[in-house]
This record gives sequence, structure tokens and C-alpha cells, in this order.
Amino acid sequence: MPPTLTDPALEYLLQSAGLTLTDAEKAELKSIHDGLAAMKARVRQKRGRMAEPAHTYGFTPEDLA
Amino acid sequence: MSIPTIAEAAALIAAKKLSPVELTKSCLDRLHATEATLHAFVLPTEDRALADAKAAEAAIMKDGPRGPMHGIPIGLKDIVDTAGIETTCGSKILAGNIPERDAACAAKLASAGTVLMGKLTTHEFADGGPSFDLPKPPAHNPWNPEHFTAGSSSGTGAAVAAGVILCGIGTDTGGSIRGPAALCGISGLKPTYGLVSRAGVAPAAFSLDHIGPMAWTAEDCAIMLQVLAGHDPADPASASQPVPDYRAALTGNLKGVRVGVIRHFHEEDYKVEPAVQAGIDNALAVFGSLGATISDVAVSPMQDWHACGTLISITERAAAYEEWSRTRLGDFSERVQHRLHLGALVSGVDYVQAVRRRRELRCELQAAMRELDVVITAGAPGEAQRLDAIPKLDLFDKPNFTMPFNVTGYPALCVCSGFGPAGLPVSVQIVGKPFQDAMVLRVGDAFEKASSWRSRRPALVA
Repeated sequence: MPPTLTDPALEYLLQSAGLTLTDAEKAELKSIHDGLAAMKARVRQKRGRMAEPAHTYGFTPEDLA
Repeated sequence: MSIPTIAEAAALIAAKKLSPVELTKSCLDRLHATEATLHAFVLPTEDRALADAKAAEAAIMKDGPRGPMHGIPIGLKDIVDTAGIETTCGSKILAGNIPERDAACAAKLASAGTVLMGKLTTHEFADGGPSFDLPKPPAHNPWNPEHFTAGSSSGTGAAVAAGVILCGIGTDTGGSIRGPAALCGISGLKPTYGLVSRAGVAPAAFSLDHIGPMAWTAEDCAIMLQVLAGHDPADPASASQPVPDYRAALTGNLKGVRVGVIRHFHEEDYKVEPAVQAGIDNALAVFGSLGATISDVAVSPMQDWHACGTLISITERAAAYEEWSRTRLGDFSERVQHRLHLGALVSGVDYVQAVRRRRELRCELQAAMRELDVVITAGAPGEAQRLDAIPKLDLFDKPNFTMPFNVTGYPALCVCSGFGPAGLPVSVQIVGKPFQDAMVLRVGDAFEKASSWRSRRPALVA
């Protein structure tokens, strides 16, 4: 079960993002929270701390010119 | 005049049997006849088109054509900057925005001598879906105007299918070239990430964004890609790779080509409509008859690819548009507001875990394709839905068939593979290895030339 998105938690996240939402928009966000949590679970694999992300920074020919 | 492909028109123009002005006027006639129904253009540029066509005609009469795009009517998605021409990204926020410079792709097409017919309808900032609370209505599907074109390159899909332009620029962050190509029955290529410069094109999600050609045929996409491809220091993700002759790769046969089928994507992870399945089965039979070998291949479930791409997309978009989210949120359409709200719910750690997952998935596809040249799956799950049936909150219901190849950055092409019971197109998606765009186009072109689907146009313009 994903953690519940409580009203205070949602308020904190929205405030951090600088977003001002109506009550209806907040309810809408809460309604999709489980779907988003399922996606977050899917990208978490047993991989260990050494697993690198994709697209790590590389020097371009222009950097080396 | 019937609607020519770029290849046909270029041959006629080179032989001085077709005038660019005559070709442009026939496209303008179709624009006048269809635009009130299709809403494919945010801003038609009729005067510019006629001026470009006259200039092309004069230059061709004097020195011959610069190349096969010289004198060809095109359109640009309205997130592509155009010097001196309003570029709104389909949004109230950029009303009156007139860029000083062309985007790199617009400049390359202009240098090739193309005729600019106008700026094409897009979902707002290439996001969200069909909205009715924007300055312009969404594009409608020429095969049945009550139905959706898919997006976000919705105007490009509609205008190419209706023959108002012979090709156009699309952009693709999760399928925005291939979705409209699939639902409008045209060809659309998302090139390898980094092959076509994104400089001067509004971002949707930086690491997933691609610019690419949309045209009636894969051959026309090859002709257009030849103009667009190449390194550009102005795009930090631009690759420094040699550009091959894409059209020369179109041999018409598939001898020795190794095709893998990611069958579980369209048969298990998200079971497609019977017409789509029939189109894929038919395509495989055609590939086999042209000399290809076929085998099945398996990767992680499509839901994993979708989750990875969606979390990255939500976060990068929220970062790109953070300032306006904070100051002008109410000026976005309801759909885009909702997408921007989602950014508040994805943490930095969630994002990095998604990018780590991305590397794993890319390695997985790389390994799966080690003994293959291309893999195929569906381009879309079925025929186009009705425009009034597109849900606002659709990100979490079902995965999409195109996002996996934004996650990997591999080239992917959608071509028409038939028609469904409602008379609307269905498609197959052909995916290649990085910078093997020519192979993808070769397979798509061979299939189109061996099947009859390119002979049918929407009744609106047939």
C-alpha cells in the first residue's frame, strides 16, 4: 500500500512548489496519488548504490576544442 | 491536382513539369477547403507561402533545384520559433510572441528552399491533450473530424493527411510525432535522440524531446530528415555523428534484415484492438515476403517504461515551466495546469530513481536487439477515439506504445498498416538502434511500397 497523501502533506508539497490550487484541484491530485505512487514503485529496483543514472554528463567536441 | 508525395513532386519540379507556385496554390486551395473543419493551423502564412513559392520557382528556373525539398509546401508545429512570425506554443501565455530568429530546424528547411504554409496546431506547449479553453480549437482528424488526431503534433498530422502540406515538423516527448502519425494514417519518424537539433523549439521535457519529420510516406520522411539531421552546438544534446544518405538506404527489399517483435507489449501488457493486431500480423508477413527474418523478443513490461518516462516527463516539464506555474498558472489550459500540478508530487529522489531505471531499460533494449536490426510493436492501441471522449486524467490508466523509445532515445517510425472498422487508420511502429534511422526508414518504406495503404486519402480531400 502506498503511503496516504494527507491534506497537510499535500499543502506542504504545493507550497514548496509555489502552486495555489482550488479545493477541487487538490481533490483531483489526491485522486491520482495511488497511480503516481505505483509508478514510483516501478522505477525502484534492487540495484545497489553504484548504479548510475542514464545520460550522465559527458564532454562534447566543443568542450574539447 | 492530385496530392503528390515529396518524391513525386521533386521529380516533376526538377523536370520542370510542375511549378512550385502551382503546387503551392493547390495546397492553399485544400487549406481553404478544409481548415474550417480541421483546425490544423494556428496561423496560416499564405502571403509568405506564395512569396516562397515564387522565389523557389525563379531560382529553379535559373539554376535548377537545390535539392528535393526545393519548392515543397511545409508546415511547422507552433512550438518551433519562426523569425518575424508569431509563435504561441498554442498558449495564451505567448500571445503576440514574435521570435527574432528561426529555430534550427526551421532555418534548415528554409535554406533547403521549402515553402512555409504556416504554423500548425499543437497541444499547449506540446502537452496535455485536446483543449477547448485555448485561443484556438484542437485539430480534428481528416478521416473523421469528430475524432481525435492524437497529439501533440496534432496539426501536422491532420494537415499532412489532408494534403494541405506535403510534410511538417513534429516534436515527440512521449509519442507526439508517432501518435498523430498513427491516428492520421501518415508516416512519422522520431529520430535518434540528438540527431536533429532542438535549438529554438520550446521544451516539453529536455531529455525526452525529439524533433522529426511527418509526411505521407517513409520515403518523404527520409528526404526531410536529410535536411534536418546534423550536429548543432546550439543544442547541448546534439550528437556529433556522420549523416548518411537516408534515401539511398531505401532499397525496397529486406533481405537479411532481422526483425524482432515485442509481442508482449501489444498482446499482453496492453492488448490492442483486432484491427491493430491484424495490421501487425500483415506487416510481419510482408516483411517476411521481402526477405526479413522474424523472431520474438521480450523486455520489461510496457508499464515499467511508461512509469519511467512519465516521471521524468512530469519533473522536467515542471522545472521548465516553474516560473509561469508560480506566476501565471491560471493562464494555462486546464489540462496543462493539471500536468504542472503533478510536478509537486514527484521528489528529487523519485526523479533520480527514474533516471537510474532509464539506464537499466536502455541496456535491456540494447541487449535484446544485439542480434536484431529493428523491433516492432503497435504505434497506438486502436483507431482514433472521439474528440469528446479523451479523458483529462489519462496518464495513469494505460501505458502508451511510444514512450519506451523516448526513454531509450532509439529511432522509431510509425507507418499506416491498415484501417479499422470505423474507417480510421491503424499503424505499426518500427524501432531501430541508435543512429540507425536509415534502417528504420528502409523497413517502413519497403512495407509501404509492398502494401496498398498509401493509395487511400481521407474522403474530405480524395
